[in-house]
Amino acid sequence: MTQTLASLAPAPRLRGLAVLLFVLALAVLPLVLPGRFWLHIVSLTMIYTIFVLGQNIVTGWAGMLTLGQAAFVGMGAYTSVILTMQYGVPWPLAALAAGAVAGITGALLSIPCLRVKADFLSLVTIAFNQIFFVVANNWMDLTRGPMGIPGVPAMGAFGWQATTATQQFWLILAVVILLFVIVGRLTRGPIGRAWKMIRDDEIAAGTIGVNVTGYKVLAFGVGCFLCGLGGSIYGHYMRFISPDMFKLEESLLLMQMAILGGLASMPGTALGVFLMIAIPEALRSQEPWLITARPGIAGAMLVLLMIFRPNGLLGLGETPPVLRKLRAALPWGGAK
Amino acid sequence: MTRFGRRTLLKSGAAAALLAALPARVLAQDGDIHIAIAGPMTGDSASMGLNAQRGAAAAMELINAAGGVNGRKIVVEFFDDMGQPREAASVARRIVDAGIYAAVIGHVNSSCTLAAMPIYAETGLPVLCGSSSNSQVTESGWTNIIRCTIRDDYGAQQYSAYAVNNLGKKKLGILFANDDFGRGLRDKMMTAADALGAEVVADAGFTPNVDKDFSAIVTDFVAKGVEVFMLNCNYTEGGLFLGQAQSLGVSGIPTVGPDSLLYNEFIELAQGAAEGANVLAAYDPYSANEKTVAFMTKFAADYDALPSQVAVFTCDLLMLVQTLMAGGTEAPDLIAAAKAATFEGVGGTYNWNEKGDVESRTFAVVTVKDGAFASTGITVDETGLEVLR
Amino acid sequence: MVYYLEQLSNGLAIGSIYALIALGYSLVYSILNLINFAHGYVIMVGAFVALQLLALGVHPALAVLLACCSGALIAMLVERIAYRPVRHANRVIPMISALGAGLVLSAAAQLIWGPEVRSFPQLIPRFPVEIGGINLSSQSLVILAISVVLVVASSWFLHRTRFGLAAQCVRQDMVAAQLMGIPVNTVIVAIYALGGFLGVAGSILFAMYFNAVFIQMGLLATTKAWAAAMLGGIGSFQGAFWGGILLGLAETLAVITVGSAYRDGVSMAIIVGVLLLRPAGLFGTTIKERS
Repeated sequence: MTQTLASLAPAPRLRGLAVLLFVLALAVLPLVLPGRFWLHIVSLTMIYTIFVLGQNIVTGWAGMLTLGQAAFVGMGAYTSVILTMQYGVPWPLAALAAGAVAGITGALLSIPCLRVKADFLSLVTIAFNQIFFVVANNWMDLTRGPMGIPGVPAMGAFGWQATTATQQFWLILAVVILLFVIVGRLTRGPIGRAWKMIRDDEIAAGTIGVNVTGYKVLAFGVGCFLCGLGGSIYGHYMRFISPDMFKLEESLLLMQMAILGGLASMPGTALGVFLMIAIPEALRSQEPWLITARPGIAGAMLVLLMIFRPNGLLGLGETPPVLRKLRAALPWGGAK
Repeated sequence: MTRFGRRTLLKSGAAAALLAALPARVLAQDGDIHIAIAGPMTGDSASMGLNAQRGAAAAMELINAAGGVNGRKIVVEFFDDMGQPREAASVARRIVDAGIYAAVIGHVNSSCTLAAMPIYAETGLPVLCGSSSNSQVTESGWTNIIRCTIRDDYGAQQYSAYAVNNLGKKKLGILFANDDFGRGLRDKMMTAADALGAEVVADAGFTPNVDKDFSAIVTDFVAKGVEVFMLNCNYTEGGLFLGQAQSLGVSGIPTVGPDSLLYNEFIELAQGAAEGANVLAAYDPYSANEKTVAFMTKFAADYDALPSQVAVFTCDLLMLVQTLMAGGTEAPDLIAAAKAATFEGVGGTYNWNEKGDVESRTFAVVTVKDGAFASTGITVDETGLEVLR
Repeated sequence: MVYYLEQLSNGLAIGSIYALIALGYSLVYSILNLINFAHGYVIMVGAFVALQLLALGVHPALAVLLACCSGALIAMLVERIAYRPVRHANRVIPMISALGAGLVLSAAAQLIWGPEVRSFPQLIPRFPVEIGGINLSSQSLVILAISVVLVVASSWFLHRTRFGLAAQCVRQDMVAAQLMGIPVNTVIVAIYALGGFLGVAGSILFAMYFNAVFIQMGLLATTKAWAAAMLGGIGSFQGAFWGGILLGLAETLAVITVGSAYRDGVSMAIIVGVLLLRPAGLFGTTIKERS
């Protein structure tokens, strides 16, 4: 609730400045980072932030438990790659088409599920993910099946292509900033308020005249659109796609990221993604037992974080003590 | 208490991240030759990664006992791609960024190799690939890669020819793992069977690492009059398939398969039904070749297991690096030198063509006899394959 | 005709395996009301423990019993570490912490037993049995019998014993149960233990039937068991049983109609279709509203 109130209040100018500084710091990252490995990790984080933002709209803001977002990511990636490679569609158009295909499919899929509560939606989304995998893996003519599609062209338009890692980084950063602005407006506006209301008390929302089904379908459509759009960027960034990149395990990873960072929090989304990508990378080692134990250590951290921060790092509910202290220490803080 | 724990956790996480960010170059100021081995050490195909680790370990002892590369030691480092293309790309970035590696041996899964190659290609880092069978690996125009595994089109012809000509069976039933390895073989096998005048009467794909129940497929194959089982899959599913066929009362149908079946577990999982199965191996584990004997003995003594294709190829690629660099080849020229060379390794003789594929390799037919693999010395009868060449 | 009968028996055989796994799962599920990702990993470790004990030469009956107990123990540990602290948080939190616990278990299993698929000793002899011209495996008949016995026993336990009634109260309303003096924590721990025990019994038969113990069994068993439990109706043992059987039949049907490559897709589509028509599952009676 505090989060809702805080987000309704006019943002302090200083906070805007802090965000601006953060974005600037990100933008100069390619110029200051030695080597390109960490640049790649940050690029990957930004791409996954788009997926998880989609997941978060459905799960965090609108409160629906979907476990098959990777299928929509894959759908977007395949749509965009096939459009650009086989039909010569320019990438920006292909990316929008990717988002549209995923978004429309998601919205259609959600309609029959919304009448049923409990875990039906999770089952349907898991089932959809399996079905997507099976179809992508078998429809040889369209997707080349398990062979995957190599040689995907880089992102770009109008004769320009983002071929270097730095160009790709800046392009992805620009898209992510744009999406953050749009999603920020959306979730703070009437639609976002309706989603939150439905999430917190569906019956009450229905009673006061909120079109519950309509808003839920909309949440699904927007969430899956983001996943599809992100999927397009992912495919053109990786330069290769194959069905095994979009399996159920990937969906579970997206859900973990969303919850770790904090449901219904945009900064949380980015933080959750970064930690879930960076921590396993930081744990890499030559120690034989650690090579084997690495996924397990990541799992143990997940359990610990859930126990100590059940609302995610920057999620709904209480403000993390670290941030609270930080705020109190700042000259303009304390108001809260 | 909780707050303390939480903070320490965050701090140590940050510290670990910083440590990992330190350029690995700092570590590479000795005269050692560093080789990165990338493959799935965890995840669904972890057993292949384990074999890469074991093959490398066995090779390292043999190599460094022989004095390394003119006195310089070869040092291998392992990178886990978990069998996932995304992880493979991250691993590739890390390897390229480190700047200390003379070459990469890997990846194992074709999808991982294909996702990592664009990154290795940027700097032209030599990539020595063992087992990625997807034809795109060498068909995408990359000049910094060679691979050891036999291409699926050539392999499929050999397996089919063995079933049709050597065993005299005309009705093939193909069981394939629905990944790029199994699917590729299955597609090429259809063409080969056609050319040989045989018929594929039934074919069934399954999702590897997920499907374990083959009873419905067995019943289907038998109903369609399959005369020979062509197993285009790994030892796990191949063994389970045969075991389940036996418990459904199916017997007397011979089996032909690639060397992905060449694991002792294949015989165990098939519960006796693997007896007489024909495995066409891209290398002969029972060859009298001195190197092969040394490696096989070492491997069996250390791990009490049969080295798989991944282990053999990892070992051979390390030895290839040793041989070439001892002969004066600099690291960046490894691929060009390999393409020009004829290399004798544990797995026999390798000649690489301009694309980076191995050429004119022959298959060793291995069979299961009294619950163990045994060499047969049979050669594949290639009659009828001429039209495909 | 014989072909279809044989396929039917194949479907029944694999279905009875799914039924067995779904049984232990359904028990825990009815309390938790959320997909329990840890369950599959717990029973996978249990199967490995059984394999290890057998390899050490322990008497098979004792080994199976001890493995089931180890499953109960691990399930209790998972409950204590990954579930209880977050029981009252947002309902997706326990799901994620269970997933984390599953990752830990699977890494531990790979550290201890390695990544290879291992074969499992055939404690129940396996030979073809011919009934009316159809070949059945002796093992699947035994497994079917065991599932039926376990369904009956579990239903009796849950409906006719004091503990079972307490468990039902906890399931329906945790707070009210606490107010009525039911030791909720003890009951939940006991249910987890029982779920782990039954689950490992299922996974040992699963391992025996496929002659394979492998780490990926964790996620595989969870999804199959969950699908079967959903299909049959949550919290109903009968439902779990029939759900498992139907899932097996649906998969076999997929293989003979569309092809084995589409197996998972088609069987999932069938489940979704059934649930669209009967949202509470085939044997479920209530749709529980939860936010």
